[in-house]
Amino acid sequence: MSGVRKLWHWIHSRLLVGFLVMTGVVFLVEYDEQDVYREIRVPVSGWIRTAEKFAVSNGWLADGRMAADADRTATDGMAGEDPAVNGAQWAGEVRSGEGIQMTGEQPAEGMQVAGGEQSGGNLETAGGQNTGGTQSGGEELPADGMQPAGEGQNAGGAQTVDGQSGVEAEADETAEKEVQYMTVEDDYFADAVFIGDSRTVGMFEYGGIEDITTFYASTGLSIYRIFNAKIIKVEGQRAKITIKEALQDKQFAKIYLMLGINEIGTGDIDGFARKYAEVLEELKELQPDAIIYVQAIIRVSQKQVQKHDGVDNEEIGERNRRLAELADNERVFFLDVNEALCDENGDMVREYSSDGVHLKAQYIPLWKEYLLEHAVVIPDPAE
Amino acid sequence: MVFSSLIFLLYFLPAFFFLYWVFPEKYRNFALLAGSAVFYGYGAPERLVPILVLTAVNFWLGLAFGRKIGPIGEESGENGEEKKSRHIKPKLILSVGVAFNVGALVYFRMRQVSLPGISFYTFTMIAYLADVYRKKIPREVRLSHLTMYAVMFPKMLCGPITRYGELKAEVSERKFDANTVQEGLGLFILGLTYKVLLADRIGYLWNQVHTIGYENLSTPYAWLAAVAYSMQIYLDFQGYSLMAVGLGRMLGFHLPENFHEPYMATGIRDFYRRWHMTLGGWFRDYVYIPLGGSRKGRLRTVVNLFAVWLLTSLWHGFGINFLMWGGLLWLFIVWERFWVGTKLAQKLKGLRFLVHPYVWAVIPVTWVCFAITDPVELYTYLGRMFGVVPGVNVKATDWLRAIDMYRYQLIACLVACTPVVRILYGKLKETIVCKLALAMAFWFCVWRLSLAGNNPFMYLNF
Repeated sequence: MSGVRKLWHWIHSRLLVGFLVMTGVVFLVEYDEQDVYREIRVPVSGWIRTAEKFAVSNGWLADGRMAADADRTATDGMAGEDPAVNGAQWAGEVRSGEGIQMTGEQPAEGMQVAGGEQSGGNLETAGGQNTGGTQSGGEELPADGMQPAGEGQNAGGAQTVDGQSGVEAEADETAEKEVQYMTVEDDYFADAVFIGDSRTVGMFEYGGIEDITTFYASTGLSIYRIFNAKIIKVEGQRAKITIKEALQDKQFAKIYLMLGINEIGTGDIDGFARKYAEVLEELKELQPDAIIYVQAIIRVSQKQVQKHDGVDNEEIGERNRRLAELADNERVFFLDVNEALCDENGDMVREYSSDGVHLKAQYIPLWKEYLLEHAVVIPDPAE
Repeated sequence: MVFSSLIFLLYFLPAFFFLYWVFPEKYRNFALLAGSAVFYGYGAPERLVPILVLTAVNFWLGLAFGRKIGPIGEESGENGEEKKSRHIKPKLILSVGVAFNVGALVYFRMRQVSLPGISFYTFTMIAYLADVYRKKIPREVRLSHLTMYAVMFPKMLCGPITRYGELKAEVSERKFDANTVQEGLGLFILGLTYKVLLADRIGYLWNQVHTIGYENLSTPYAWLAAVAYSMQIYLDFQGYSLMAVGLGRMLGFHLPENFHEPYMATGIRDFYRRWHMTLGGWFRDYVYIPLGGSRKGRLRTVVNLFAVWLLTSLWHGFGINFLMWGGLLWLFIVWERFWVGTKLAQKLKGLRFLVHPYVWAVIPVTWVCFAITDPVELYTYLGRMFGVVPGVNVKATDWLRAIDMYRYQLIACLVACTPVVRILYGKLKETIVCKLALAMAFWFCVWRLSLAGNNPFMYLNF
């Protein structure tokens, strides 16, 4: 066999491996948003930096790079912290435009589906947040979910917040106004918009109001991506638009918001509350005539709690407490929908869900009923 | 560690094969053994202990057969005579061996000790002992060889269930060059795409249905989800099996195939000659035929089939739903056996094409029994399929929405269930374009996996 043929055969038998390496390099450099080699890259770059510092301190290396390194250390250090946070999983779904999908999580034993809501965490923000570092050491009795319904609700949960934890100095003025609620029919939602994650998608699918009202919801939606995720289909064009763009085009009278279950993975409650407040401000600007209903994050059932993966009712309860503080009872109201869905222990009633996190279709009306019974009476400005 | 995880694809695979390549040939078995230990013990090294103990015991039992002289000349008593000096009854050894392996399997299952692949492993060892007993193969006297055969990572977790006789030669000596690596790698990537891009994607349909609650399903939706699940379980396991064969090929082994386009079957009997063929073959060779197979009259055949299906159900799990699954299949198989050859069957020859819809209707129902372990929920689901259980808050168009949402995945999965992929791959695999496509597919799968976290193989619990 001639030399050329031999060479050709040699190449031919190594083509696949060669292509793998080449496409791998392209992928890792250009498209690898999840940074799949983070687990090696971070410690290795840490070692390199340490070596550089060592070299500099011994005078072997000029120290011009120290300042820039200090910044990098900050983010890299955090990014490396918890490789277990897979995060942004549904961000990917959202990005690839699968919009309103209600997908199940954690079905029967043996089949574990992509972490979904549970491993939430959104790596889109600053190279990965620290997981589990900032869990407030759970308060014993979750305040929300305990209030008896229909007793002239006081300021959502604001009152109990006062009573329970020391109110942070920076918290919004806790509303002392009493809120009056009335009971309405489905047509109350005609000028409303529902914004949220997969639980809101459930309302879309089984609430029976999808013809009357507008839904801007997507599985995996989080407070960090609410405005820039392209999830809304528009007639006549292929590209989807963001919620922000949609809210610029159309005005609503009521906004129902439910977000928070996907962010539990990131563990950063302060950041969550802060971001939520920012989102509320933005919503007020986008929709100056609308009142905003901040719905409590629906709690999970014991089935989910027993998975011990960080998504439990202590986490949720803490976040709901912070959300309740955001209500001013003039434009922003806090609705503790858990009252309709939980048992005396503050867990979602077990029969209401098959995976512990999402309501079964037949129980979604319970949630809707709660909303219908807690419509805010807006005082007539003429008075 | 699982094949479809980033840790395997991005770390273990390149590192292992690099070392394997660099090692001189005579140490490669050791490298494979060490690599398999790392693969299996990763994250839970204590798992290695029971496995190694089991292997040692099986090895020792195999040795115990040894004082008999076998037809394939191996070490014998003195002078190669038929000397029955150490007279341990082979039947005793075999019985102890089977009891030990089955006992271990049952023990670990009941105590819910997490030992992935234990079912496959014990069956492989029983097959080894039985083959030595039958004198099909001589006992293996090198512990390292038997151990390596038993725990090698391509087949450790989910099979295929192999026979020592077929792999023996390759255990000692095998080819490892660029061509085998390339061939194996291609198969591996094909399996990976089956799992990540097909099975995992259509799997969300079934999950969605689970989340909604079975009472809420319209009848068409219940059927749609059952069909989707049927495709998912096939593509998942076939994907795994292709990966196993591919990895084996990369190392120089020829591992057996597990599937032969099962959804193209011409009947339930035929289906199970195409589904999980290594398990079916095991039950045939080590249970059905020893019991007499079909050679002892009709009644006995039915009984033998019952035994096989009872054991198959239990192998998958100790639940009523598995018994229902197996029981249903047994009924159909017995019926088919005695139906073929009847006059009515002859008359309907022209309608033979109906076997395909027949299979496509029956098999998903059996998979539903297989999938739902809670009897009440199972009853609800089947009830919705056949309109026996009333629906609650049912949306009549839910299945149309699902088809719309999953249309691409459904089409892709349907195509993958036909022989099309196998034929095309066979024709095109040597082309440069195909290789480039495979390489890109690999990284695409990596990307998908990095987004979605891990979706462990469905058979991993067995």
